Amino acid sequence: MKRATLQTIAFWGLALAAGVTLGSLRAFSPGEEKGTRSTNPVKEPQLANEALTRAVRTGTGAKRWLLLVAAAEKATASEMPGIIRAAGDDYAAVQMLGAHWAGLDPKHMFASLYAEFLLPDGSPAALPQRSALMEALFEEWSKSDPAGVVKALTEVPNFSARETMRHSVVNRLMFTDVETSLRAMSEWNINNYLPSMKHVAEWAARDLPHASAVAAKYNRGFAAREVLKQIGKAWAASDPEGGLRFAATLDSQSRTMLGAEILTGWAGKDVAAAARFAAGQTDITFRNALAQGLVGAWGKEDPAAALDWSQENLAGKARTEAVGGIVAAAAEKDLTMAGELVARMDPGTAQNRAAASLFEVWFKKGEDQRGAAIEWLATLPDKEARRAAFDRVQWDWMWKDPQGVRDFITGPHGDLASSDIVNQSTRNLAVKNPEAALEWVAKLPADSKADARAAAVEAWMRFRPEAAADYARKLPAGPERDSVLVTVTRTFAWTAPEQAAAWLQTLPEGERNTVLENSRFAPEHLSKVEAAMLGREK
Amino acid sequence: MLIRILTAAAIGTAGYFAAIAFNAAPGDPGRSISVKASDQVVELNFPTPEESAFIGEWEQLHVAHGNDFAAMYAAFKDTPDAFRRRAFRYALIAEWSVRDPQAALAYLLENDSYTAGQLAHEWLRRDPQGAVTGVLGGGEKARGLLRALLGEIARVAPTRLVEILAAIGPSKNRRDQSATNAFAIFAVKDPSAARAAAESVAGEMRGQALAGAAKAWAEMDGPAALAWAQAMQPGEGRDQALKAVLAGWAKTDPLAALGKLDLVPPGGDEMQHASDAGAQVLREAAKKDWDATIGWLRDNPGKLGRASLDGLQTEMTRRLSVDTAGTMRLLASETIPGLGWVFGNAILNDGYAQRDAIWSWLDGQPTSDITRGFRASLLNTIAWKEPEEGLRFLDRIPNTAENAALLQRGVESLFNGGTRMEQFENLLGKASSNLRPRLIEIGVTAGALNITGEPSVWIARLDEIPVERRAIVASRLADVWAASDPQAALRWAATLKETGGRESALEAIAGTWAATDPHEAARWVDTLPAGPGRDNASRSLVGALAKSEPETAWTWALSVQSPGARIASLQVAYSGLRKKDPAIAEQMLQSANLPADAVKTLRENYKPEAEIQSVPR
Repeated sequence: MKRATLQTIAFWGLALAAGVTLGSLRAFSPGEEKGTRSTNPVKEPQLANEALTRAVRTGTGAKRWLLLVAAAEKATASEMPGIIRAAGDDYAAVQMLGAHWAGLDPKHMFASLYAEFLLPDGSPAALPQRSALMEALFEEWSKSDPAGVVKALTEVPNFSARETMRHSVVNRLMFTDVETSLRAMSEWNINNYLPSMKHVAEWAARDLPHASAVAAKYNRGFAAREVLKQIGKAWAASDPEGGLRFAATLDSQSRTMLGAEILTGWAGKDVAAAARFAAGQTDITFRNALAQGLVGAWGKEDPAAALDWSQENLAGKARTEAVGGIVAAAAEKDLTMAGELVARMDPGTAQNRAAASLFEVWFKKGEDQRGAAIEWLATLPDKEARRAAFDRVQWDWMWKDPQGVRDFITGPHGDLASSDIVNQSTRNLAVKNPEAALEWVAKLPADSKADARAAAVEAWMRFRPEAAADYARKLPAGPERDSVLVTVTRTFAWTAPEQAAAWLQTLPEGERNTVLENSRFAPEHLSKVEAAMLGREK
Repeated sequence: MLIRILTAAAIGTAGYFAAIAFNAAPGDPGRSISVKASDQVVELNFPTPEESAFIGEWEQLHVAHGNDFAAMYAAFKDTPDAFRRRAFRYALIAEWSVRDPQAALAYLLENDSYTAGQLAHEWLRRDPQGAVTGVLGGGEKARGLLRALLGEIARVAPTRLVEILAAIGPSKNRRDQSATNAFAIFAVKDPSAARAAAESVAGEMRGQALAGAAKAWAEMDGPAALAWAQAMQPGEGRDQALKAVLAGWAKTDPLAALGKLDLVPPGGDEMQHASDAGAQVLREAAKKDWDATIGWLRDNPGKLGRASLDGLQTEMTRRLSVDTAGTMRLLASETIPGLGWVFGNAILNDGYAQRDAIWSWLDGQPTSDITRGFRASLLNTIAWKEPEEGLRFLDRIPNTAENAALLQRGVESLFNGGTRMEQFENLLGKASSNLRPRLIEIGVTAGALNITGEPSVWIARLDEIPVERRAIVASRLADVWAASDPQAALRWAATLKETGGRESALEAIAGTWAATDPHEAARWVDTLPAGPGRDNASRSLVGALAKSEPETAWTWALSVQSPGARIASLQVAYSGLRKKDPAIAEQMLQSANLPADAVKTLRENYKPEAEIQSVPR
C-alpha cells in the first residue's frame, strides 16, 4: 500500500475515533451511571416535562397534582429530577415527588443531592426545594435501610450540607431505629442536638437492660442523656431496684445519670425505700447523684425529713445543692411553707442557696408573681445572697423580655442585678444604637455607670470602631473620658496593634502615656502596640 | 486534499451519532402521560385509569365516598407509603379547595392542622381575595396560617398585607422576617403602592414593612429610596428602613451603599449573628463585587468592626470552595483588621468542607504569625467538630515550645473549653503519649473526676504529668475532689510529699470546702496544729466567709499567726464587714486589740467599689 493511502486511512481512523469519543461523551454526562437513563432529557421526555411544567404551574385544583403523580408513578430514578423541575418551587409537590424518588433508589437520589450541593448558589441547573428533597429522602431511607443511610453519610466527602443531613438522619432514625441513631450521633460527634424522643419509651420498654446498655455505650451528648432519662423513668415505673442494680454495672457517668432518674421515680412511689438505698451507697459520687433525684420528690411531701436526711448523709456542695432542691420542691407546692423553712435555717451557704431556690420558683410562677418575689428577695440581709438568687433568673428574663430587664435595672430594686446583667443589657442596646445606650447608662446608679459605659463603648467598637473612637476623643476631660479612652485602646489593641498605635497618636502626648499605662496590657500586646507606634513614628 | 478532509468529517460525524445511538438510554418504558406535539404547542393528555394506577385509585375513591371529602381524607390519611399518602392528600386538598374551601379549612384545622396551610395555599392560587377573607374570618387558628403565606399573598393579593399584619400581630420568633420579605416582594411589583402600604402599618410590624419596601426599592433606585427613608420621623422604623435601603442598594452599587453607612446606627441584634447594617451591606457588596468591597475596607480602616466584617463570611466561604489557595493567599496578604476572625467563623461553618485543602495550603507556607493564626483557627475547629480527627491533626503539630499555645488551645477545643467532658475517657483512650499529659491536665481542671467518680484512676494519671507541673495538677485534683468528698480529698492530700504539692492541695481543699460548707470546714481547720498549714487553711476560710458571714471571717482572720497573712486576712474580713454594716465593722476593729498602725492600714486600704476577693497569698 502506498504511503499516502496509509496516511489517509490513518487520518480517517483518527476522525472516527474522535467522533466516537465525542459521541460517547455526549451520551454519558459526567457522574452518570451506565444503564440508567440520562438526566439530560431526550426529546420526548423533554417535551413531556415542558408540557407538564406548563400544566402544573398554571393549573388549579386536583388536576395538576394528578398529572404530577401520573408522571412520577412509572418514572425511573433518573427521570425524577426532570419531573421535580416541572413541579417548580412548590414545597409540597417537591416533597411528594422526593418521597417517590427515595423509594425508587435512595442511593441515586443521595448522589444527585450531593452533586446539587456542589453547584454554585443560584445555579439555573439546581433542583428546587433542596430541603424538601432532603427531608423526603431521609424519611424514606432511614426506614428502608438505616445502616445504608448511616454508611452513606459517613463515607461521603465533607461538603456544606453534610452536617444538616446528618442531623436530619439521626432525627428520622429516632422514629424507627433508636440504637442506630444513638450510634450515628456518637460517631458523627453530634452532641448538642435533641432529636425526637417520641419513640424512645416504646423502644426502651421492649428490653430495658439492652436499652440501658446501648444508651450508656453511646452516652456522649445531650440526646443520649435524654434517652437515659427516659429509660430511667421506665425502670422506675417497672422495677426500680432492678434498674439500680443494672445501673451499677454501667460506667460511672451513665450509672449516675440513670440512677438519679430511677431514684426520682422510685421516691415518688416509696420514698423510704429510695432513701435507704441512696444512703447505703459507698460511692460518694453515685450517692450524691442519687440524692438530687431523691430530694426533688421528697421535698414536695416532707421537706423537713428530706433536710434531715441530707444533713446526715451528704456533705459539701452536694448537701448545699440538695437543700436547694428540697426548698425548690417545697416552694412549688407551698411558697409560705418554703419561706418558713428558709427562715429557720442557719445563716450561710446553704441558707443562701435555699433562698435562691425559693426566689427562682416564685419568680417563675408568672409575671403577676414577679413583683412579690422581687420584694421578698430585697428583704434578705445578705447582698451577695440576693444577687446570687437573682442571677438564677436574670439571663432567661433578659432573653425573653430585654426591655423589662432594663426597666428593672433602673427601677427601685436595680441593685439586685449583677454587674454582668447590667453590662449585657447595655451591650444589647449599644449594638443597635450606641448613643441611645449611653443615654440609658447615664440613668444608672453611680456604682454601675463606669462599667456599663465601658460595655457600651466596647460593643460600639465591635461594629463601628472609628465612630466609637471619635466619641471618646470628644469627651470632656475627667474620669469618664479616662475610662472610655482605655476601653477604646484595649479593644483596638486586641484586634490590630497598628490601629491601636494610630489611635493613640491622635491623643495628646501626656494623655497617650497615661492611657497606655492604664490600659494594663499583657506584655505581648504591649510590645506589639509599642512596636507599631515606633513603626509609625519612623 | 479537500475531499480527504470532507470524508474525514463525514466519518467523524458518523462515529459521533453511532456512539450516541449505541450508548443511548433505553426507550421510555411507558410514562403514564402521553404528549402530542404539533408545530407550536405540546399538549398533555390526561391519563386514563388504564394508563395510571393512581388515577384508577383516585376514581375508585370518589366512587366509594361520593362528595364526602372528610371520609375520603380519612381513608388515606394514614397510608404508610409517603408518596401515595402525600399524593392523595394534596390532590384531595386541591379539589376540596375548589368545592368548599371554608369547610375544608374547618375540617383540617380540627383534624390535621399540619396540612391546613396547604389548603390555604391551594385556595390562594385559585381565589386570592376570597382566600384571604376566608382565612381571616376563620378564627385565631386559621389566622395563624397567614404568617407563613405572607410571601405568597404579596404576589397574589398584596393590597391585603396591611390588613393581615394588623390581624396577626408580631411574631413570637424575633428572627421572623416574613413581613419584611412580603413587602419586598410587593415593592418589586409596585414600589409606590408598597411604600404607601408600609407607611400605613402601625405598631411593631411597621419597621419590618418599611424595611421590606425600602430594600426592594433601593435595588432599583438607591438614591430615591435613601431620600425616602431619610425623610421619615426619627425612630426605630426609620433606622430599619435606612438599614434595608443600604443592604438593597449594595446589591447593585456596593461602593455607594458602603459610603453611606455613617447615616445609620449599627442596628444589630446581640443574639443574632451578622445582623447589623454594616454586616448586611458587606454581605451584599461582597457578593456583587468582592475586590471592590475588599478595596473599600482597605481604604476605610476602622469604619467597620470585626462583628460587622462577619458579613463577608458567606462570600469568603464560597471563594474558599472554588479557589482555596487564591483565597488563602489573599487572606494572608491582607492587612484589614478582623479578616482572620471572619476566616475563623467561615471554617467553623460551611467553610469547614475545605478543611484538608486549607491544611495542605498551610503546610506549604513559611510559618508566620498569620499562618499560625489560621492554623490555630482550623485546628480548634477540627477539634471541636470532630474530636477524634482533632487528635490526629494535633499529632501532626511538632511538640515544641513555639507550638505550645497552639497545642494547648487545640486540646482545650476537644472539650469545648471544659463543657464537653463526657467525651474525656473516650478521647484519652485514643490520644497519643504526646497528647495524654495535656488531656489529663485539662481533665483534672475541668472536673472530669466528678463525672467518672474514680479518684484512684486520676491519682495514677498524675504520674503522666511532667514532673515540673505535677504539684500544680495535684492541687487542682484535690480542689475538684473536695467539691464532692472533702474528707477523702484531705486524706489523700496528707499523703503527698511537701514537694508534691501537699500544702497547696490542703489549701485548695480548705478553700473549696469552706465555700460549700464553711462550718464543717471550720471544724476541720480547728483540728490542725498551729503553723503555716493552719494559717493557709484559715485564710481560705476567711475568703469563703467574708461575703456571707464577715463576723465569723473576722474571728478566723484574727486566728492567723503569720503577721503578713494575718493583716491580709483581716483586710478581706474588714471589707466584708464594712459592706455589710459600717458600724459593726468599726466596733469589731476597735475591740480587736490591734496595733494602731494596723487599724490605720485596714481603714485606708478599704475600697468600697472593689469586690471582695479571696485572701491574697
